[in-house]
Amino acid sequence: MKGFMTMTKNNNIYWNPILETLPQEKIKELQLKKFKRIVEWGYNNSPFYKRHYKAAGFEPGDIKTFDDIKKVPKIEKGMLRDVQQNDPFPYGDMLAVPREKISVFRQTSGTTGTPVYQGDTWQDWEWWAESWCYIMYAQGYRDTDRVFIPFGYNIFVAFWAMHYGSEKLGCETIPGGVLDTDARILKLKELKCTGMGATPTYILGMADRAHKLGIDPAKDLNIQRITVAGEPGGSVPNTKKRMQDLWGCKVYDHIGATEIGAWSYECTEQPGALHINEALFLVEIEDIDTGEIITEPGKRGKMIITALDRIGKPCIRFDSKDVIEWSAKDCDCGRTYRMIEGGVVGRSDDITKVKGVLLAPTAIEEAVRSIPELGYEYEVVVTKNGDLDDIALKIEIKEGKESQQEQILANLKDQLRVKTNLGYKISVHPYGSLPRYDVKAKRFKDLRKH
Amino acid sequence: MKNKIQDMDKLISEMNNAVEGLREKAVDNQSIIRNLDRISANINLLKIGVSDVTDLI
Repeated sequence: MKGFMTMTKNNNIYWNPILETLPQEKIKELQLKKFKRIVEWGYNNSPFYKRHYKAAGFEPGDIKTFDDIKKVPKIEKGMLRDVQQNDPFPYGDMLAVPREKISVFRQTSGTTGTPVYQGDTWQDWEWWAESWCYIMYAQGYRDTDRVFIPFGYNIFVAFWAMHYGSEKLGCETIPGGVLDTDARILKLKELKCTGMGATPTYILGMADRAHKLGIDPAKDLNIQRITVAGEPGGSVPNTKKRMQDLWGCKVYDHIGATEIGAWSYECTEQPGALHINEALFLVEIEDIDTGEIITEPGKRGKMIITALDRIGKPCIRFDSKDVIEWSAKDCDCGRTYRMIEGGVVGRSDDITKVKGVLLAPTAIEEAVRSIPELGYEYEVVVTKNGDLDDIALKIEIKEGKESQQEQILANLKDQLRVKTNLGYKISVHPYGSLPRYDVKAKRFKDLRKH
Repeated sequence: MKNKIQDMDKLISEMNNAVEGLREKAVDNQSIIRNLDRISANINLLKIGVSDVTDLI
């Protein structure tokens, strides 16, 4: 039987070998036990959850088996926004602990609407750091690493938890806070940093800027591994390849969210799929059309997730709108945690029909980033022209490659047709003129809805 | 392995008891209480990492 430390290649590759190699049937037992515990906790301590469950006629005692989990009423972001409009300020009545037990405030980035406020107890914050230790350890970070965090250190969670996870793991951790990009690059060089975490967009932008400063990140810096998060790029093969080529190191993906936690990570095997930290999180995949729970690989659905140990503001069966699918692979790293294929492939509210064809914005990213002569930025705008949809794609051609424009555009059109089955109105813009983003890029604009 | 995990669980339980014993003695010494709160948070993470699986193996 694979698992429970019987198949480990090396005990040093796991942050917690007890949990990460637990046989899958034991993981399910653990998840059921913890799920019952957090539901009971939410019901007994959070007025929001009690009201939500009572309205649906649900009682915690109704959960007897793993199959009963799907009976528990879901929550979604709109509810979190609504509840925080009510007293007590600022979380409404969602907390499951007295307000004085909250020691950390963060909020969501607001990409999809009004930010959601997130209060965490000190234990929750330690749990965030612990969750990141699983990620970083699986990606090869050790206490010998010097880790640079080029992040604005503000009210968004973003890379705060990586900072504390890195400290906990024992890495020498450098907060690259208010430094501008040039200063960050020079600091990376001066301190011979070995690891870093940022969004894919920023990693690409930093490399671009470094070249302008006469620094080749792949040759002149000492970065050995990068963790990306906040956008899908770390699991978009051509974006990942571009980042790895530019920096001369492995780039690993991680997925997390303010209201959920750090729930998924790629390991050093880079199997094209991400592990779910199943000892700390319960992930369900729900068919978008039928609402049935998908248990087999190969079919996409939206993620319903529970943070099994987050106590201050519990996250129980949260409909994240992230579209994922189970992977059929077993990872060579020996972790028994299940994986999702290709990371988050989109959001159920982003995947949209254009000209009658289902379009995931990540497919456009994959096409654009497959053309090496194109700059890393692009923008897509979908509009309505009478009854017809139009898709405009704005791109940049790298400096010095402008003379090849005709061939580059032909290659791009081929890639777009193959990957999205759609035609685009493509316009070429001067290199560096499209918007640059430090945190979450907004490259896909569907103006038909407004 | 089962014995090892059970032994660790027992030690975690003893740590927890020691913290609660200290808390009673500390009365209203905020320095001690807040340090114990932080230790308790980490003991709870040890429970997540070890104790929660003790009855499953």
